Amino acid sequence: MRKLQFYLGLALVGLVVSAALVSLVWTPYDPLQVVPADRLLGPSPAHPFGTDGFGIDIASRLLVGARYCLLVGIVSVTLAALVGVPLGILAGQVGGWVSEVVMRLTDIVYALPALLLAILLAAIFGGSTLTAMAAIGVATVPAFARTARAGTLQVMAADYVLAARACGTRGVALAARHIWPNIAALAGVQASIGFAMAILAEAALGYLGLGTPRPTPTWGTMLRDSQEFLFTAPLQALWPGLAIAVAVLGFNLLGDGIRDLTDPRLREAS
Amino acid sequence: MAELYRVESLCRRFGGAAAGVDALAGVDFQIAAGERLGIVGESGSGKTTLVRLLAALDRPTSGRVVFDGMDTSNAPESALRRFRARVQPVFQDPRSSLNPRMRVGDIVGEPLRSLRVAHTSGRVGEVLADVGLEPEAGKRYPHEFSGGQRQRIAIARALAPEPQVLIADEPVSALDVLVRGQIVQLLADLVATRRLTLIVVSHDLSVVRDLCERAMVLRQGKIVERGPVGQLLAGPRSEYARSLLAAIPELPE
Repeated sequence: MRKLQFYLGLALVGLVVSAALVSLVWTPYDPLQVVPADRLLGPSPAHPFGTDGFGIDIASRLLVGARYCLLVGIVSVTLAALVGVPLGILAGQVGGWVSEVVMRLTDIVYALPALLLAILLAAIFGGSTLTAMAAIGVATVPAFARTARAGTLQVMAADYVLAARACGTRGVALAARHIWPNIAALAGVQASIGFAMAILAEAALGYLGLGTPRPTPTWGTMLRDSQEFLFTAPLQALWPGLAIAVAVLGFNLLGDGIRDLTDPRLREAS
Repeated sequence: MAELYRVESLCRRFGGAAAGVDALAGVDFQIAAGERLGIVGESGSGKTTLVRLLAALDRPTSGRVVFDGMDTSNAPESALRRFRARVQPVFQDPRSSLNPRMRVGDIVGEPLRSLRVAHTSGRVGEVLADVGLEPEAGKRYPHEFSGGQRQRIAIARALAPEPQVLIADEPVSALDVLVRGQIVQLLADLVATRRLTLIVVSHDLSVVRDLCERAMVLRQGKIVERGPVGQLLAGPRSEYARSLLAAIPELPE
């Protein structure tokens, strides 16, 4: 059952990744070329998902959209992990006022919703893929910092850290040899779940017109464009919605799967 | 014999000044070089706290620990490098005292690297052999070993920087009965061949009987009795020591 979850997540994520890879070399139609004669076609052998309000093949746009969904996810999660994990380890390892400062800072960022932050950044720098990635990245830092700190506190209480201290290991060496390897799985779970959050946030930003600008196809902007046809051509909204759901579900399942597979208590039981 | 350790009115309080608990409430003793001292007491008597203070892994609330003329209890970590190479601890449970994500070779070599002890490239293999393990064990991970073998790895790590003092905190109580005897024998052999000063903490008087010449009985953070092990076993003066003595399990021969 636990393995099933992991593999299902892996399969869904694999689907999104292969869509993005395929779009780099091939799409059925030009994802940017407006064809006024083909507006709002239903599914057909020529256009399996139909065409949108500009007469562009939806399948092509979905494939290219996967690219932006992954790009935003990878960049924002990497950014958040690179900042959050070291901060969390520092807070857990040093403790005292350092920990207090780090935790209060994360509280402040937590209190500011990612969307508001993105709206703020978009207002200053204009809506773009970069502002979306930066905003989502910054908003995800606290989750990584807190996870890393909690994991670090657990590791610091272990006898092997006491033994390492008796061996004269401290500071960065202690973090690199003892703490990081033992919280890496935890960070991996957080990354996978953060990825799912990032995809949702990116779609929401695109929907609000604050993400990647037109004509670049992203799933969020596709949703936005589809809403004027919600009653005449409801399938327009279904496809990007489904794509987002597949990606989010995939990364969530993958995250849960990694956690279950690496949990030492569960691992020792099996 | 030359005095190695001097412990002066050592106190360690956990929690606040008002509602805290005194894990150690004023302990004084000395340890001579080459001596084998047992510290006995039940759970909560302050044994583990004492071990951590002796190994400079914790700071006392008051009082001090002087090792070979150096006050270790208030020294900054940077000043403790020489001390750490000379005093090494072995902990109770090797399942938690070995980092599960490090290879055994790296675990045993850690004090050499971190304390920058001059050593030959074959040093790790040598210490592994000294504790009865194959040099190839260094390539494997701790979970691939049994409890007794893991404790051998922990002992090898402690021996790697060629320390003068070994502090063993309940070294066999996490192991099963049949393995205990082997580890006690190993410790006895190592102490004899390397002329180590040994401090053994245990709630089990039989371990102290087998390894030590002198013992102290700790109760609620205070020393209630001290003397040669033989004398302590033959005629314990305090009621508490008598009850500990009565609790020695008879090992199957």
